[in-house]
Amino acid sequence: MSAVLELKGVSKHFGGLVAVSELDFAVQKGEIHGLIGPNGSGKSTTLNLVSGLYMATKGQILFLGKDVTHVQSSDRTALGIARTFQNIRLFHKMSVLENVMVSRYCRTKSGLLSVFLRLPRERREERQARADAMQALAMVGMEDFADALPGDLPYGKQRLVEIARAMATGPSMLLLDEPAAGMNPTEKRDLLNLVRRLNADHGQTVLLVEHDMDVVMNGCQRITVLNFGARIADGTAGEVRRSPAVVEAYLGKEEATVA
Amino acid sequence: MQQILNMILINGIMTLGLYVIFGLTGIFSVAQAAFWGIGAYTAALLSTRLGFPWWAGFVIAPLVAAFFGVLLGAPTLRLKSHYLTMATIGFAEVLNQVEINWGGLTNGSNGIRNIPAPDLGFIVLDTPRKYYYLGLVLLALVVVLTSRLRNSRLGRGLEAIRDDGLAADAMGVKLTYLKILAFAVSAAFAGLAGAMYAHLVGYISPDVFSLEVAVQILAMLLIGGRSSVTGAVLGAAVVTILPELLRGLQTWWAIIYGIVVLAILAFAPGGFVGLYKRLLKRLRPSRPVEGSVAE
Repeated sequence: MSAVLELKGVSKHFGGLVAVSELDFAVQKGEIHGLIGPNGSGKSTTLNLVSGLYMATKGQILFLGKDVTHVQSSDRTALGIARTFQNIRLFHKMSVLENVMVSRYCRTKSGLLSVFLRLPRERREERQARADAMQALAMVGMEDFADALPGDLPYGKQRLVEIARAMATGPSMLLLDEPAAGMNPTEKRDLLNLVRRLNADHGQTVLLVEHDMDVVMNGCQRITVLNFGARIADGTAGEVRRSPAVVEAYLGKEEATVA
Repeated sequence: MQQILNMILINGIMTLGLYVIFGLTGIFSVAQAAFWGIGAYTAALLSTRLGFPWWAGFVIAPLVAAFFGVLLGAPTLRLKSHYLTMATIGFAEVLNQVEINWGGLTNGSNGIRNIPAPDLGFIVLDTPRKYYYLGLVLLALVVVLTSRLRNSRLGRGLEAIRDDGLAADAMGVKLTYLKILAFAVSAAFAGLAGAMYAHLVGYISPDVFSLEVAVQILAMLLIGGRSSVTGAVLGAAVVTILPELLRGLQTWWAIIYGIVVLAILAFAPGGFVGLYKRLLKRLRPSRPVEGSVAE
């Protein structure tokens, strides 16, 4: 296995607050990697540092061996990092299909002149983008909702569209920011199955930030646990569960599912 | 009447320009009238001072306006919503002052006279009636270009920026490039409308290209429906004709016109096109989405 993502001594300060401190961890190719921790432990910040929404104050982020520490968000997407958001952020005035087609922007080239003249190359690209977007929707089982507006869909389905939108960028790594938040048990199970299916069928590498213990413990091959912005454990679900530091910081305090 | 039809075509092109920057990209710009002025002055100066053929203005004016669009767009991109709008107001005001005060170039408040009518060789478009067909062709061209832009990767990128810039960025959309592109295209359309105006009327002066026009263009887009090409053209037609129809009411027309505009904005925020879509939905209720939650 080779590392898709590597964080080396990454810190993020917000003024005087240290949200993430000297963080090291790696996501291996083809794994579902969980990132968990109590509230305010810096897991969402970490995900934002990886996606490029935030820039690291210190340290280095390597993606596929390339230093992306100072690369901006849209360029990281082009390199192969795609994400979803904790609070769903779909383009609400665009249809579901158009939402997903936006993701093909960084994989297509047509400029203004080709668009104005509707050159054959541009038409080919459009057809391909549409087909790619439909395929991404089919991947999450949402192809029948292509023409709907996101706002007309229930919450769980909007999540799926967001995942399809991220997948349509053709990512080497998919970042999921608390995808199970606000979902009922059935939706959670379906989501977990979907993530596993993307991983098994498409070899999709996934970094999953999650609050829901069941989802993380059942779904992830490796787990990194954060507390106060620092890594306190790293390993399989079993290893993490047995780690005294984790028990103390997280699981030991109350029931694991409370978080 | 023929002149009003011509103004509908010119306003239609300008409204489509606003549609690109505001309807598609979500940037509330009031600089359309300024770009219109840039186009008109470019065309007027090219044909009266520099002896260019009339058609050169129709080609060069949009390019010059686009250049100014980039000039306005590039430094103001970091500004958020209403601050950006303020910057466009400032730009429009400054430009109007330049037109008034740079006498050497623009002939100041006296304006520029004797801008020649387009000569196609076999026919000179020296009456509004003849001019109309040229205008119609140009409007059709701009309608086609705008719809093509909308239904392209670029158009989807612009709409994504409008709906959620942060998410668009995260999906790999280049915000800076696309916003500047939107400014350039919207300015180019206004510039073309400016060249059309200059060669139609034959005389231009700074008072034509005031902020008032920018507000009127905005009314056209909002009344027609800001989210569609059809809406832009429809709005331009209605708002251009309305004052003429109400002219008999003398001073009252402005009040009635204002009330009509307000009523449309209050009761049909999607404009005519939005109203039509709502009506269509009511007549043919679509199947509710399976599993959707009634709220």
